[in-house]
Amino acid sequence: MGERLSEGIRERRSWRAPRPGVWKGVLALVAAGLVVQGAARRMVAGPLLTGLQHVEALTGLSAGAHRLVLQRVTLPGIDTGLRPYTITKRPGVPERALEIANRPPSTTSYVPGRLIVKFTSQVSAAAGAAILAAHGARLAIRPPNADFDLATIPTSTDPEALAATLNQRPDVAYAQADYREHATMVPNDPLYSYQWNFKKIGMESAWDINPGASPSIVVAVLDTGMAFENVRIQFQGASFQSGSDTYPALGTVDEDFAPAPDLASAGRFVDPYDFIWDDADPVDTDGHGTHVAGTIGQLTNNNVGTAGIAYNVKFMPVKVLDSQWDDIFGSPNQGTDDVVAEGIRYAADHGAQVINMSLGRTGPPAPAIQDAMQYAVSKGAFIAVAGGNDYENGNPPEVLPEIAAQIQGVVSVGAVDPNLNRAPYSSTGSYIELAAPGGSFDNGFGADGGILQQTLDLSQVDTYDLPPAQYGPPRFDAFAYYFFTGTSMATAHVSGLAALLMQQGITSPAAVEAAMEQFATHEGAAGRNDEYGFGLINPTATLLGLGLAR
Amino acid sequence: MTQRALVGEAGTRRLRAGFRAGAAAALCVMVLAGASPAWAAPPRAGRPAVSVRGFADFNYDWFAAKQSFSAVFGKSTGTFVGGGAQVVFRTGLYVEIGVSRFQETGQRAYVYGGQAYGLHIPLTARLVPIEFTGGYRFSLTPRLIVYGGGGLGTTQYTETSQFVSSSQNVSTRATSYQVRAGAEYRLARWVGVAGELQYRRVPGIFGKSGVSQAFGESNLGGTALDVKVIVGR
Repeated sequence: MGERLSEGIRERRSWRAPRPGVWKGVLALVAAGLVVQGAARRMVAGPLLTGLQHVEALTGLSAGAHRLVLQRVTLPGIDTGLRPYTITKRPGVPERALEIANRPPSTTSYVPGRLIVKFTSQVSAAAGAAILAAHGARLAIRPPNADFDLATIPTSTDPEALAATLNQRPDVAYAQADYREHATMVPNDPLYSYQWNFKKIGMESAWDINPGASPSIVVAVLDTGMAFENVRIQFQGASFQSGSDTYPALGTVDEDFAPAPDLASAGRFVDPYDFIWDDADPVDTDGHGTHVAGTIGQLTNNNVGTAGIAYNVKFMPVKVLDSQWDDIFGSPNQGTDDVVAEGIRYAADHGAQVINMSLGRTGPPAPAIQDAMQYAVSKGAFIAVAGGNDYENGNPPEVLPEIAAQIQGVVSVGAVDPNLNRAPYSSTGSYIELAAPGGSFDNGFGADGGILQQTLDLSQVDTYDLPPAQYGPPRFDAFAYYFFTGTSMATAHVSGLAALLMQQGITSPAAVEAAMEQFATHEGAAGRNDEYGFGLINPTATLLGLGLAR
Repeated sequence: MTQRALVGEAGTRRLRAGFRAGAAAALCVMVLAGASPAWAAPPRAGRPAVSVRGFADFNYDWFAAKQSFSAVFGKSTGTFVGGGAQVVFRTGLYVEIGVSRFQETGQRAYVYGGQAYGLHIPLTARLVPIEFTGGYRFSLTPRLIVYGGGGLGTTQYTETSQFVSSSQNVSTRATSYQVRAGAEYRLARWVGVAGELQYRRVPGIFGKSGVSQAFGESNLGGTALDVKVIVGR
């Protein structure tokens, strides 16, 4: 067994009280402490148990443990919604934006054969026509509600050059080519307005260039699993000690799992594998993995919930981290170096082009993981690694980001808050290579300062946080939207962008990293710095790449 | 003889050096306009002292920025189409103004480790060189004339890409230098065809940013084979 990946950073966050007048239900605010680079801040003070305490209490439960898949069921996931009732679909914008975004590419920024001209008031219609005729153009129409004319010119004539010529005439108020306008894509997902993170990195114009990648791109999410399938699984729930409290054994429990409604679609999940339970059902028993996957590629423009960056990709759920429930149910494996290394190699061998690793640890080196990362890059997979949430815990060196900095094609990611400043928890060091929104609840940002995505309804999952008398079996088929913070969330942004870049044509992991770093928006001290690395990711500039001369 | 040697050596030297001072060569030609090289074929009876001719030309270019053009257009060659006018003096001197146009649509790219990755974002580049050339023509036979010259010009370069704002597109102009040599065959009294080899250097546009910088290519010019159809004596 290697080092346990989540040690030292387990801090379970609690609910946040609803914001009066905004949320119809309870807007839960939970950070995924279990897996490493999840939440960073505690919003409500209270007698919270740390994950580490659980781990200590649960030691020894996994011997001889097993779980039994009872049946494949087709129950729909329960979306408990938690919609803010003040949000309604933006009238008129999304569909039109999509329509324009999907227009076949044009080779010019203007419409050939057309010129917009406005003559000064002293110029009669006949005189205007004569002026245009002298330049090979003819007056076409004056559009309704316009004070300018549309002229027809030969398609071989450069309208920009002709406009420049006409603009030198004193009798021409202005002349211009008829440039194409395109609306930036604004997803119609009703909670999109809460996703400040996408607006801050210019995702709307990036989606104009690349609307969500394509199913040809496979993103492996190495995490606590993913809510991706309908299945009923039987577990044995052991008793455990938490602090001074003893929680009773649940005995045999049949748990229904369902795909997250805003994440799942037909054929979306490929080659799932669970290295915690050694089977092909890497269901999420924590919520972290599903949340991370949402940022990478939540279904978008579906009038449901939130948006994701690469919303057309396929997911490969690879469970390499154990949750509290996995511990209570006695999973045979835990999230250790060997498990993570296996997961990386598995993802690479099964065709993942992008591997998201919103996980990590401090402590001794991890050569097994380093070798696995090098292997994955050699197989053509780009890897994004969380930079760590330990700045306020003494800022110890993070092992996986240190590896990332040594491998071109593996990127370590720090987090920024809504003001694009380094998030207070985000670890710093020479290994930070890029920054992305990870959110922050501090500095007055409140819950809205986190990254919003759909995941398991944690009010029905985290029953072990309740007093023993209220403790009971969890539900994994109910979903809600939560703000999480952490470099886990930042890492998901980089993975989503990597998927877009891979689909756009940058197929080499090393080139993906180089492009992201080259086009990053610089933040902080000059040059690469320990807080933001090369800067904040800039999806639009990165997707645009280079012209010949600029 | 002295004059001839000077002209010949200067032209050779400039060719080898990439013709950094094409303008000087053109001026030199102009200064020598009044002189008649001893070995130049004497003017034929009936040829006017000055003739003005028009031409259309088709120019196949091997761009110097080979990697840059290949990355964006998938090839490093292109075709210019244009035309112009020549003034030919009985002494053998000629001056020429020509304008041509190249336009190609490819895709934006990213370059890493010397490898280009196409990004499938349409990019259209347009080159419009306006060139002034001076040189000498030598009659080998009554129908066959060889010539050589050099000069300078200005090249307008525009680059537009989908999704790129107008302010980020490129529209610029730079001085260009060229040398050329060729042979003209007179098909008829008023019609001739010519084939020539041309080298054009256009610094100042490439190499500062973009794919051309990534490949370290700073010359927007190249070597070309030019076919001219000439109308005039």
